[in-house]
Amino acid sequence: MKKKILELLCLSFDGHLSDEERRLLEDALSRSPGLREEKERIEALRQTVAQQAVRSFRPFFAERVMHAIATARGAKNGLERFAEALQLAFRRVALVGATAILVLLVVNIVRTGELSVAGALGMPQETLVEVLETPFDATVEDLL
Amino acid sequence: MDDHLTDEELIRRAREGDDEAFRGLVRRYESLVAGTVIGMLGQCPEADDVGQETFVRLYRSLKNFRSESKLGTYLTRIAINLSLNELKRRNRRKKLFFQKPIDEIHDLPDENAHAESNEDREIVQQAIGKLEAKFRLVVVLRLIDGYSTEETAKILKIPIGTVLSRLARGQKKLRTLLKPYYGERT
Repeated sequence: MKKKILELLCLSFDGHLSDEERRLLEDALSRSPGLREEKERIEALRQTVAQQAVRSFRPFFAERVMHAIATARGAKNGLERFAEALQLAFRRVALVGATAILVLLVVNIVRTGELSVAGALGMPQETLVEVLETPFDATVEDLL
Repeated sequence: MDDHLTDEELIRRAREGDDEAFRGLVRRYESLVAGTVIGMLGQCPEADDVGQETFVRLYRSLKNFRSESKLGTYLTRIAINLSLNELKRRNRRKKLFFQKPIDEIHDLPDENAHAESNEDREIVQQAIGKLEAKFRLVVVLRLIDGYSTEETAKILKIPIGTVLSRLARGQKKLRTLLKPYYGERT
């Protein structure tokens, strides 16, 4: 019961007690000088803490916040710039690479005079029969 | 300048890149965030850093911020999480150098020094700093930020009963700590 009354006392500072709870607390307060004293002590403590609380940062706080935000924004922009530069570099490398491959393919086709995949890749065009008929000159001694 | 604008309007403008609108929000909520952060960490350079980071995080999450939750509550949550992180960092540092975990801010000033200097603010701040973090949280939200028991429970995601018991214990400890300075007044 005492615990309940003390809880009601704490809640009474919110001003959210129901009529029944308020009546119960008022009744207890009127009967108990100790409870009245407790209420006064809590009120005094609340007042002291509320009055002495520090509610501001050092001067120019808002300016420091805006500066921190600007710095964070700058860092983000830096990261974005790096990503963009990387993308651009990749695009250039990819373009140069593709051009080089194309030039090599054309050179091979011109050199071999064959308009085929093998010609483009610069590989000699051989049939299966030619491959099979190629004499195998190696001896056992060569292999060892 | 932006005093007449609602939070929603300032948020909308800030989303569109209006820095002055965001500055207006910072000015509007500085005292709330300062109450929470300085209450949790004491007046120190780290408190200022945590305060700044609180608003930087708000700025980053502006696009996702939904106006159904109150901006003040949202900022308080961020401020609490960052303050708790800072306390953990402090504890780690202290463990490393002093081999003793502490999340207290400072020792209370000498009782007689109080009579001479009358630094009430410092005394109360340091007394709050002597509380265990879980009690300090409730004391800061209820007694400094002025949140109700229900709101405190929602912010900390703990039951109302727990808020009440932590508040009672926190207040009791505070009274003991402040008694040498304020006598029976507290």
